[in-house]
Amino acid sequence: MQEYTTQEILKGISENNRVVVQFIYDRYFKDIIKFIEKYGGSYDDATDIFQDGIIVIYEQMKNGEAKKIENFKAYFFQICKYKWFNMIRDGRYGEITSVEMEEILPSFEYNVLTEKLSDILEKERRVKIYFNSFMKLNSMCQKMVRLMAHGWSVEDIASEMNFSVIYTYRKRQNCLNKLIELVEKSLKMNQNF
Amino acid sequence: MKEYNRTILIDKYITGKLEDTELWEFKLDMENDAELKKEVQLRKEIYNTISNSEKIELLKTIQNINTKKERRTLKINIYSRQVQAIAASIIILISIGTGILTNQVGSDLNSELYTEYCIDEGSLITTRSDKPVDNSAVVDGIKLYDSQEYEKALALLEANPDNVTARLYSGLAYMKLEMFNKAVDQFNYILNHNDNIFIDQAEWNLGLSYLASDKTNKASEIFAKIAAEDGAYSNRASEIIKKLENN
Repeated sequence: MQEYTTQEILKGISENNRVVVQFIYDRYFKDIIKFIEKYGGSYDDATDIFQDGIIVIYEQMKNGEAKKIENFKAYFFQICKYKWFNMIRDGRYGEITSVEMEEILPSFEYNVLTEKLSDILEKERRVKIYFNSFMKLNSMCQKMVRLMAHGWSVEDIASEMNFSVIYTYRKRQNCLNKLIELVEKSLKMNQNF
Repeated sequence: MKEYNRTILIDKYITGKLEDTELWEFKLDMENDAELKKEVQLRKEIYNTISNSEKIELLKTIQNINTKKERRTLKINIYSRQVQAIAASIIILISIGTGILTNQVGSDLNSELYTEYCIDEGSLITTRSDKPVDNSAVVDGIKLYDSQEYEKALALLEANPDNVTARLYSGLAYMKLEMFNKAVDQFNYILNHNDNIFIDQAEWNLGLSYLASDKTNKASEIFAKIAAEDGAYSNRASEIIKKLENN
């Protein structure tokens, strides 16, 4: 497996380099699963945490806050642990002893990180819900909603998709309603996280 | 406010297309209608997420990696021939009943092939051409394309409809935005004006655009032509044809 430096990994994330993302997955995901399962989580939880970790770093790269990251592995695990800590602190995944909590809580630059991290993670929690809901739409609805989000008029959407304007009006409304319904349902289910 | 007007007005407000009186009235409506305000806020957040193409692509990449891993795990678990035979029979019966299997698999395969073979060549194309682009708007458009600001890039590139380089980058930008019909128009323009150096790239990306928009027959025709020409993309085109045939 090709090795990457911290800076190469960070650059790869910010540029959505599939090879680098795959490398992060191949190299670190199994340790994340091991950690999450140890503290009551599942494979799916680990998948979510992995995604959150990457997205947080992507956001920090975009905001210029990732310059101080010197060791990708340590930093990435810190974020994943922090996110997991937030999910299990209310006891829904079983009782966690204070000794275990000590182990879960990231210590390195903890105070500096937590405030910013919780803001990003809360924002990303919603972003993930929007994205996952969007991905549940069929490809036609996805395209229609994406064009709407980019500010295309109904007439332009109709022309791009080879539909009549009347059909497009109706369809866009259906797609949007479906998306909002999915989002609201997920927000309700996730409101305590 | 009727449902239809409400939706359109919210869209226009979010995308900055309400002006003067209309904008003022809408803001007033929001002040007096907490539900409307909430709806606008939610829709704005959703649109911001969806229109952030770069982040959406990253999320798709992560999801893709996870999905592939799950598929691999499933393959390992279902090792028994008997289990495979039973599963195959069930799938065939379901597919005969519904008639959807071919389309769905075709669509999934197309999407997988597109993801696998669509490699961003970006500025490599202009470097490779050895011919400097002398139009500053086009140069700026290419820079915006390279920094993944596809819509801003398109605004500059499309203002130069006679420039073949601008056409090529417009096509690539439309592919990034998954607006494949528009991408096809750009690549066809280049192919119809065949006195240029971008024929190979245009043909290859035209094939990929057809593939991504599930026009598999058209895509196959293009890839067969590329494979027969012995050009830069012929090996990759042959691979795609084989994968489509083996499906």
